[in-house]
Amino acid sequence: MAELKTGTVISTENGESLTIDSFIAEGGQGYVYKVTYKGQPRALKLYKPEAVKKLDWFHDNIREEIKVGALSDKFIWPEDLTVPINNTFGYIMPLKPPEYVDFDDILLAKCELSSFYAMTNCALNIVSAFRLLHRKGYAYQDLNNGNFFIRLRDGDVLICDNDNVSPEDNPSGIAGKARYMSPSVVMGGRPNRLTDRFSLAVCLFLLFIRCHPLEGVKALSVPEMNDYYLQKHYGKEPLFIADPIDHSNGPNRDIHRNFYLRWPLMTNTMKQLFTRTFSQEAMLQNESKYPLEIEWCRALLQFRTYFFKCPLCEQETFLDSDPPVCKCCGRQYPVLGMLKVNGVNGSHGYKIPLVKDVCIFREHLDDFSSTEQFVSQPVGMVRTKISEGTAGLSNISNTNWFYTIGGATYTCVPKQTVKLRNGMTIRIGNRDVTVHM
Amino acid sequence: MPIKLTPDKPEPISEEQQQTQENFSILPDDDGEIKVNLQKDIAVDIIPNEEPVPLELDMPDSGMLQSFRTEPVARKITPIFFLIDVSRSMEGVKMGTVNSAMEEIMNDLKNIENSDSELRFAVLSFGTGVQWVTGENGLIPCDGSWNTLVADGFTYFNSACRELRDKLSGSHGFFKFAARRTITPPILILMTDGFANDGDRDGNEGLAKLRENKYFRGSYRIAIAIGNDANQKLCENFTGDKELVFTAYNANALKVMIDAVVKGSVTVSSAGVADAPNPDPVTPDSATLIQTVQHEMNQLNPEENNNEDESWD
Repeated sequence: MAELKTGTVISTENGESLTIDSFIAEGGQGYVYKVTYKGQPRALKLYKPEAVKKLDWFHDNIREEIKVGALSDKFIWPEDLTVPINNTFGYIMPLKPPEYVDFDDILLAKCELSSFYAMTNCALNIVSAFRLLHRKGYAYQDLNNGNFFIRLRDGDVLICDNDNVSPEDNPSGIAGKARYMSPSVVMGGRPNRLTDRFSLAVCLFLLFIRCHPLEGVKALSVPEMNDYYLQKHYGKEPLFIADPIDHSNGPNRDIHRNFYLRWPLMTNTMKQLFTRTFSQEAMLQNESKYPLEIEWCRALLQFRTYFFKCPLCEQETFLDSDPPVCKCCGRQYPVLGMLKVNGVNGSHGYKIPLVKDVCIFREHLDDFSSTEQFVSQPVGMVRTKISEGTAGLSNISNTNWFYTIGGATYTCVPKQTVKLRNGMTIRIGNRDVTVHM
Repeated sequence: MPIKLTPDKPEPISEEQQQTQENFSILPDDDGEIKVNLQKDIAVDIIPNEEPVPLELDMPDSGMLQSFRTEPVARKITPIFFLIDVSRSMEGVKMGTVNSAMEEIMNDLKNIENSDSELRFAVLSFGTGVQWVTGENGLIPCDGSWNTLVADGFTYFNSACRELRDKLSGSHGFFKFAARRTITPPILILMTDGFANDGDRDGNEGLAKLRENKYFRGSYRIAIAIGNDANQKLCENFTGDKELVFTAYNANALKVMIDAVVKGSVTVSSAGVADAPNPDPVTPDSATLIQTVQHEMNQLNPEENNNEDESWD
């Protein structure tokens, strides 16, 4: 169908109307316009009827989504449906704020997140959003590089194209991109929350490593990636670029420079999660082996904690050596010790280095149990006096902390700083944080 | 003023504590085990210093990430070949329309960029003789520019087929890339208005050679026959499927068709969508291509592309 003209007025199912302001983009399934709806700027996606096989399914699904409401503020969620127009329809959703960029722009190195900290934050936002989605009983079904908008400053994320989101026993039937699909889906199986986890891991791998996990030298050796080879490399014989046993699809130093640069930065836990996702067992035999979102959340939160500003040069560095050496200025910097949040419920707990301005976050303490969406709320911040070799922990929460010395219990009120000593334990909320110096 | 709750001086470090410090690692341990014996009777103070400052989540725009020199993700290449008839019969409106439409499509293609594949193209014109308008060195990126084609001479289609066969090669042709990179199925788009003048008029001679080439057999091929007099048989021989031959009876139709054919074929070739049940190792499934291009063609009102041939001179 032809594109809609500026100024066109369309009625909606909720009895409102919208006015087309401008054309934004054309995708495989439809056109996106900037519109005015209830006096506010909004986006309208108008389906191409010929391009969507189950148009009625989408209509019913979106109507249901509107009834349920947005899962969190990370989802650009449908708000209203248009009445039928030229054998098709559209839905209204919030407009992407201008400070958010396409994930593809990052993958194409057109822009970059402000730091590794922000990058890890981005991953945490994505994973926790999909944890929420799955906990609500939904599957995304067609997760790929086109579904995220990212704010470079801090890694905040908005998830778009949520019209596919539905209970996993009610698939949309759309064909997705093979390189993001779990092998079972490439071979014709139905997408579900398990296959979502594979797609999620592909996106995380691309975000951190900047190459595709299954596109090593073997996948690149085919003369032409046609349907046959798509099935072969992403469906029948997928092989991880860092497979610990079979190296036949490994990286090439000329082509996969990003891999050589970035894979070594991953902690063992991160490497293990990727290796498990892209293991032969998980990909070809048992998709329940794909890591759960909570496993990613814990690993990412610990990973993020090891990125901080170097106390000497104030640039971002990563703690991966003892004695620690700054990745930017190359100087050895002091780490006065470590805070340990003891683990519960299968979590190993968290280690927090005693470096200036490093924070304990709510998720360190509640292990992602108190909120459905990751909020990254700091509750404590490390202070240091390098000259004296002392460290403190500032209470930047709004609740009192308690610590016990010699049988007596003391209180640290908000805005106060506790001087840290080896072995002391601080009760924050319902968790014990122990100090190791 | 903060109040001291405990003794002023820290206690001396005991032997046990020293042992503890030796055992403890500041690095991520991944197994969650802390090899430390906790000391319970340690002095604690409130540090009398300034109030905590609000946390800034974002780091400075420098630091280790900026030193990583990250490159764009490795992408497949989607090759597009345009085979364009520049014989004398194309002179006038036909050639002008092709040039005009190609200018616009090139401008659009330069903005079509994604992390799945990278578009590169080559233009082979055939009149009296054949010429790689985009150069002999291979496929070039779509930078939005277009070299105006000038019509003159005969229609050396069979020669064009032979020339194309030589270049559809990874060892000595246009698919020999600096670093090892794979391609998505090549897209071959033919635009012609006449009969071949260099041998078989339906192009069978040249096409027989082309069909020996595996990349040709694995390509997506579409032909736009320009005008009533265009050789439909030649176009059908080229695509191997009547449904992939589109006839433009006037300038407006040709413009829309070029747009639809290029955008539709790029979408199909580069998307990497897996929905073919049992794909052939060489020949791609053209059903999706037909469906996609026809969808793009829907922008053209069928009545606008009538048989009057009124627009061609």
